[in-house]
Amino acid sequence: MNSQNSLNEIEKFCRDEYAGLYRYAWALLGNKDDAQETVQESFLRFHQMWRQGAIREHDRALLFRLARNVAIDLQRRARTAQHSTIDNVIAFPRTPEELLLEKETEHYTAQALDQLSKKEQECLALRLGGLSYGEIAGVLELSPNSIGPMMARALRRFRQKYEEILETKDRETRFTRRR
Amino acid sequence: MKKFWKPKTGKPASPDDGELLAFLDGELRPPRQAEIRQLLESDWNLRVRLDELERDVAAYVSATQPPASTDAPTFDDIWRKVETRSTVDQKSEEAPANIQVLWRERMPTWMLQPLPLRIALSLCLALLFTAGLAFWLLRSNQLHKVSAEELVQLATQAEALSLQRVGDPVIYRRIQLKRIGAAESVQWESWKDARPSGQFRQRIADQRGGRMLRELDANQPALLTELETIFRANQFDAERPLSAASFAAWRKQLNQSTDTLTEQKESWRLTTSVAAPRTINTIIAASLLVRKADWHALSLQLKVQGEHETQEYELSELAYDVLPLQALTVFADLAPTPSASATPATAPPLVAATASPSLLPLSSPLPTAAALLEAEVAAFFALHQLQADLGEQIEVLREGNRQVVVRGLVEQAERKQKLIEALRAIPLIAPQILTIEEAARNLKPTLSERVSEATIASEPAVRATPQENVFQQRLEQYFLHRGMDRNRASQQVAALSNTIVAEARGALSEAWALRRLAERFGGGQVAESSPAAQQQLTAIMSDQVTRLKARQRNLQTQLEPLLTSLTVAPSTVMMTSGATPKERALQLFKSVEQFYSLTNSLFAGAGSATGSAESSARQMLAALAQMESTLRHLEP
Repeated sequence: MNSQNSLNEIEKFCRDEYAGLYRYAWALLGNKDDAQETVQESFLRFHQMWRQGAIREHDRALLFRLARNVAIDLQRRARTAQHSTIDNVIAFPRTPEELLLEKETEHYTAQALDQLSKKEQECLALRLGGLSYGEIAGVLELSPNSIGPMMARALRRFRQKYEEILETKDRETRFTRRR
Repeated sequence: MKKFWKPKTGKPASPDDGELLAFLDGELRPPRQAEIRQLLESDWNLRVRLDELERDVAAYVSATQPPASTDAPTFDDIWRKVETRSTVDQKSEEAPANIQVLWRERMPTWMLQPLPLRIALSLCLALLFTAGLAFWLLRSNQLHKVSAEELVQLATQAEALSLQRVGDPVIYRRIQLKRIGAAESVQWESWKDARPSGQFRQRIADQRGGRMLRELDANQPALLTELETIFRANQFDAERPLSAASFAAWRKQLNQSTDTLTEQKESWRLTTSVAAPRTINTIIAASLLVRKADWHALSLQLKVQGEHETQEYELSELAYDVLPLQALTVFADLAPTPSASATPATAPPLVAATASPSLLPLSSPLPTAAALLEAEVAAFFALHQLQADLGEQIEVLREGNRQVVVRGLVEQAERKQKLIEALRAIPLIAPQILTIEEAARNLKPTLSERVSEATIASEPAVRATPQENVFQQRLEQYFLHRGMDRNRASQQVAALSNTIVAEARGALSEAWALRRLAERFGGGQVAESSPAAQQQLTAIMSDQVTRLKARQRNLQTQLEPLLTSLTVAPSTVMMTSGATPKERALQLFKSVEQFYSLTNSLFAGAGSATGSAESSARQMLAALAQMESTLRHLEP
């Protein structure tokens, strides 16, 4: 059994990784609740594994791998946008314009991300979470050398798609106003 | 990233987007990082590309950034929940896993070891278990098994304990003595006062009948004499040969011996063989059978060195009990000598022990069925010898498979004394004979009724009182025709009637005795009894048949001429004979009874004489003929 010192140590590790993990979860899932649940569940699983002695040292790649698995589970269960919107409305009262904008942004982002493969999305999200190329390669079980080109390609396509969506939307808006 | 196909020039290779992104992310090695930085300073296009990449990244980061309005949970909030859930999970894991935890804590540290070590440990445990099991089995077997020494010791202790049950214990034993290979067997009863130098009394029953024995009795069976000699020669207690203590004492004084212990279903058999030089009468081997349940010695087999060959003897216990001395009268008529063995040879002859049921063991072990049967036959024989089986109110009954009671009423005290004396010498017999006076004075009403019945029964059932009937008139005419005057003829008829009635009654008594005997012993039980019992039974039957034949002849001699003159046609009776002695005896009884009934009605006027004189005469002749025929078949 681990000592109290070890408990404190694991807490510190999780605290350090919290922001990146949350970003990663958000990038993957696009809503606060799922991101929060993913982070929480990842910490919990990490904590259990550590308590059972399955892990001996701070393994960031493992933590993100756990988060990835949780996120995949959540996505499978199709618990994404609707909950987050409602919860966000309840939790943080905003103006209808703000809500619409947020909703549109989420929608465009989701559309742009759909152009990417799952691996590319995950790769970008992991990088957003703060993982190094080596760690990303570990999580995704890829070669570290392939991470840079894959990410660059994914970023380019995402941006192109995202801007394309925005331009289209902009054109539609202008056209509507003109009418 | 290096491109190995590019010719090496002085200028570093231009990075692709992937490498450029890695440069941005600081993922390249420092030399390559420096090279790209240098390239960026000199390469405009590269700077544009880098700028584009940064905008790609910014677009992605911006698009995937949580909205500014979203209040992201703090780490502490998340961690608190994690800790709470972790605690709950831990408890819920622990609850069902208690067994696992216990298992893990108590036993299986070795199970958590690497596989080879686990296999080795498993093998060690298996070996230990097997060894333990073997040890346990061996030990449990040992618990049930005994050594020869232990067996003797346990049997001796059990014997000593049984003596403590009563004060002044007397060991009663009935033993069957047998020489193996010979038909001869003797039943030997002994009463041994268990105190040091205690009195000893013995009784023997062989082909010559049962009798008490005294010291140096000439009537002692040869088999018993032989055994006494053997016991003396081997320092074996002759007064208690079946005693475990005697066996232990004999075994102890042996110089060289071998013990063989054999387990049987309900007993142990210890055979001690003597290796020492063999002289005549030396016990070569003695085998003691001890009951497992109570360590009681049941039988002793002896192999004895004879003059030219070995002899084998068997002493089997038939009955055993420990009785208080005060309850016994068997020693009452002994001279107050300290020990029977110390009685001089010239001591006055021992008289039979006074009769008392307490002479017999009152508690277990029960006598065998064969012993009871023999006692019963002996009782019948004794009664027969005293002619007490001919109509006296005496019955022979078994009492709870323990003993045989001879119960009855007699007219005179002398008769009672005679009967008791005859019966008390028989083992397992409890005589309960009373005079009519005693019964009438002391006994309960039910018995009083029997007394009155006995009194009535003792009276002649009918008196021959010639009555004026057709048959008697014909009898008178018969005598008148032979030249007698009327008065003389009447006297002759009365005398004849009395004789015939008396003979008929006597025949009926004999027939009753025979019937009782046939009913009791006619089922083939006697075949299993001793030759002595069989002889006694044959003797009784022979006597009864002989007497009946005499009576039948007498009746026939007196009646045949008379009856023949009364009837025109001789009777044609279907002579039948039973298949078994019992059936024949019953048949005989039936014909005797019929004859008696006719006699009563015709000669004594006890009943109504039915039919004509001719018819009655024919019936009597037929009954006589049937009696004669059946008696012929009953001749032993």
